[in-house]
Amino acid sequence: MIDNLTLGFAAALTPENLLWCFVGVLLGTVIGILPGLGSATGVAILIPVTLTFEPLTALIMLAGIYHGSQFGATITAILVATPGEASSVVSTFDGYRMARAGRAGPALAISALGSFAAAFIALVALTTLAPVFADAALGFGPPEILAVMALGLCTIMVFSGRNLMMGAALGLAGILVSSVGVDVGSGTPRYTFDQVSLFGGLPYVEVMIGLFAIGELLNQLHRGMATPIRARFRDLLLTREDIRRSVPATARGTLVGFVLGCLPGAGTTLASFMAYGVEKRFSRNRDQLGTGAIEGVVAPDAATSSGSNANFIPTLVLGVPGGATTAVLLGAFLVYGIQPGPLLFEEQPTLVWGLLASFFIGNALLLLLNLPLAPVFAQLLRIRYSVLYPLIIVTSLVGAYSVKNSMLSVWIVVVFGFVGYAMKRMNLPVAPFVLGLVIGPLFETALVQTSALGEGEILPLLASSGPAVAILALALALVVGPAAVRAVRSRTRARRSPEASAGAGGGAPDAGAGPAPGGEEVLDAPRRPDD
Amino acid sequence: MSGPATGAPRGETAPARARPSVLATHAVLACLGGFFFLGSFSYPWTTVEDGTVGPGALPRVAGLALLLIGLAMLRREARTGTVLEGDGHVEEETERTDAEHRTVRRKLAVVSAALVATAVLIPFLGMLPTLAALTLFLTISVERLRWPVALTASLGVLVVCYLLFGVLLRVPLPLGVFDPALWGAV
Amino acid sequence: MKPPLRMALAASSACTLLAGCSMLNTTPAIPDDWTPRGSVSALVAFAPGGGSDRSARVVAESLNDLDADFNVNVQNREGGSGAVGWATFLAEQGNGNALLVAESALNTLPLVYDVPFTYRDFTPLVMFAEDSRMVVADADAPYETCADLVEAGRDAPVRTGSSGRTGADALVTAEFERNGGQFSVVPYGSTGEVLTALMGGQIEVAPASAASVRPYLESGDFKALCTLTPERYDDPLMGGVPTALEQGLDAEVTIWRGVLAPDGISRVQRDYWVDAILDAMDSDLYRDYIEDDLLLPADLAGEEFEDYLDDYDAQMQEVFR
Repeated sequence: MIDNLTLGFAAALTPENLLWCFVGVLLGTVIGILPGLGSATGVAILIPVTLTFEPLTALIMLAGIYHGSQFGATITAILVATPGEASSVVSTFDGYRMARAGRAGPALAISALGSFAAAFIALVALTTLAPVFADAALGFGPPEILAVMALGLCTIMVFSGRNLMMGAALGLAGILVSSVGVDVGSGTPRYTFDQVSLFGGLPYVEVMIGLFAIGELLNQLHRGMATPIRARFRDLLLTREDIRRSVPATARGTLVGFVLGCLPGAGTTLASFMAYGVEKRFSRNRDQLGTGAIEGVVAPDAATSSGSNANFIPTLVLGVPGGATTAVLLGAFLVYGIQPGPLLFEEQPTLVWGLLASFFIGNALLLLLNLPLAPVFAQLLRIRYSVLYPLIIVTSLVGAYSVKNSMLSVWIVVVFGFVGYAMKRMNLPVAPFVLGLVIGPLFETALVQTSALGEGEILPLLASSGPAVAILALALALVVGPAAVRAVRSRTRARRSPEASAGAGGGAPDAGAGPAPGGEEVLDAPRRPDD
Repeated sequence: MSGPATGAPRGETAPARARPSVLATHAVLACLGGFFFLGSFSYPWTTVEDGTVGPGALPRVAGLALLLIGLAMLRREARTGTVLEGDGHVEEETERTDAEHRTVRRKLAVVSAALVATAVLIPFLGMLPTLAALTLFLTISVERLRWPVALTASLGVLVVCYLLFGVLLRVPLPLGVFDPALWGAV
Repeated sequence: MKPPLRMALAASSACTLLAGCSMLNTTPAIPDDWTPRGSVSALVAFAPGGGSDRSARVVAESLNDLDADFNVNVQNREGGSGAVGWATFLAEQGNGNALLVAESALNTLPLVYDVPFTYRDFTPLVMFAEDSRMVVADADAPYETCADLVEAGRDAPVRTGSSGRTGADALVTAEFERNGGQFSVVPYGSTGEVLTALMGGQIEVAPASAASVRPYLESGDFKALCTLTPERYDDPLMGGVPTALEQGLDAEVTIWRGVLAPDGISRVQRDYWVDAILDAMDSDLYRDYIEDDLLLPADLAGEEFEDYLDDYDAQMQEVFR
């Protein structure tokens, strides 16, 4: 093992490889910052550029782009609520609140640190035990994935706050919207109204850019524009308290991300949402989540980071991409004549271990690059909003177009921008909708596959699978039960007059995930208590 | 277009029961559910060939559930008006004067219209020119920034986007009337 | 939320179509010495990383190596098993600067779904490769040949996977069912997923391309039951695998990969591209691609390719009846 890693580092640590790794990380960060252009598109676009390189150098650069863009996507999510990628949507919940409270620096810094720590842990697990995890992942067939997706759907409850019905309604709306397009099982086009452009469904990256970036922007315009933030120097740095609170959150996020990352197809978006859900359930400061709590920033980022590294386990060992980006990288492997699969580690040790070593190097470079830059990026918020918001519009529209080179994407951004604005104005939580949109197709795929395996029956297969039953029990015990109890309790407490609604959060001694209207550390967002 | 105006009356304090904005939200959700539920009947519940879960199953179940939840919420709102957070109620900003309200509303309308206009114009004028024009319009007409600032911002947008998307990422952005293929042939 | 959205979508697609058509139709007569200039798009209707994407990148790269006055960029427009990309390509009518890298699903998709195009809506340029499928099973499986499979399928359906209802995997199942076997098909997203499901024991057999099963055969995890090629592969490892025909089954699967242009381009433009692509196929890149991916080289150009497509479509109409 150590021999192999030494071999890997020896191969990866040439000046040329280091240089391209750095270029990759830097490019990736820039690509990640652009809304819509996530790691998948970035890697895909840049594969031709790397064709002239040595295979290892090219792969190192592509992996650098991959890691860099994961992180870059978080930067704009935190600063201007414009997620660069679906997996960084969660960063807007607390990260953006922190930024509006003048703590953009620490939010970015902890995100960089948490991502690095999570990546490091995931990589150690990856290098030492990849085949073991891959074997375990093989045991996860459609019934087990179905259970995982059911657990994911249950997390909607966590994101709906006390108004469980509205949360469920918006989650269902997300699932329904996601059913537009060609059906995964039979291939029937659904709700497309003979518009071929809709056959591919409503792409959720564009929907999210609309809901979050444009929606938040219109909302800010409505509220008389966000004021430029001039943070004091000491607000730009992490405090000891920040770090103390972040350690357990990072650990939880890493674990969630790693488990979901090992499963082919589950993806990092789900991982980041689940990690946030876990924080809402288990964090010591869960009451503050949604108001700019540092746990809400670091846990999802750690999950994304460990998940995106764990994604390489099914990719390298099984040849099945764990997510959209690893799918593209898999394509790049094939271009270089590397056929992932059971023999990859034996046949091309220099390449594989060099690549793994470069993941370590890439993540370290990313940290070195971004930790000092965090306060610099935070200065972006000093730009007047009247200049900033046209820039957000422009990058959102070009970014959305570039995802598929399609005008449809631009229209989706515009339309869902209005929807997002309406939802913000009406205090509707956006998270359940997004979660439904992301999980809907995954859930249905697992459902169809399970029923195909069981010759039309689903329940017998589910019941006969130990892991599936365990996961479903977990879903019931940890998510549904407590959420239902809380909902019933809060319902008996809710008063009939509007004045009481303001009092319900602040006044009542509150044990549940607390809305905090007028919480002191929140500068600009006394509403949307629970999105 | 859509969205912003969805049953969101201003200038009245929230009544204890049956607030119109909330009713409208619930009604929209129920309709969405109903639409998908009814629509699902044009797709089979199971796939005919092998009896697996068909394309109609998920939308039918989820659509029906959303319809029922929407109706339940409507009923709850109409009968009790129980106030829950995140139920679709539009809060009032009391600290604003009417004049300020009007300014904000006008700005929102203009920006929204500009967004739609941009999307309409991109196929004709090309992506980057349209977006530069949008920036110029927003900074000058809406935000009333000084000419030099606005021009710098727009040109900056044009150049940076061209370098990033056109040169570095080689995204085939629509060129509209500036397409050389159109002029090269003439 | 719904109706305005739909209207916006309809309006947008109408706008793009209108814009595309009205502008490009105004182009005057094409001169005899026409050459493409500037950026040429090569559209692929599938996601980056898949087999179609790989073939498109090989073609684009080989064309760029000709050092002509143009630069081919691969554009991925995935969705709807290819329907989205191909439908978008309709809007390129008359555009000599647009290429489409497609495969057999262009024939099969319109037979199964209601889409606004068929292969006749595009101008065939060059078919550059043929591919086929192999059928593999777990090393311990009770089947040794594809004939065993069909035989077993007569009693109870054999559980297999498929990476798409209109793709090559569906053709394999259809061929075997024509021989009398029954199969229950679990749908997956990609060949990689199908092979993983086979590893995990969720399905009994899997159809897959020769290139993708090769490492599993080398490692001994899977055994090959048959290939659906007309003749055995010319390859040390794959050459040992008998064809389904040898095993007494009337089963053969051929998938074409080719380059097409939009409808309505001029004779000059078509000839230019046919020559350029045939030239590009002399590259080492192309030869390595054919060899590494265990493809059968092909070079049907222009009318020959058109006739081939007509025959192919007639066959597919039989299969998907």
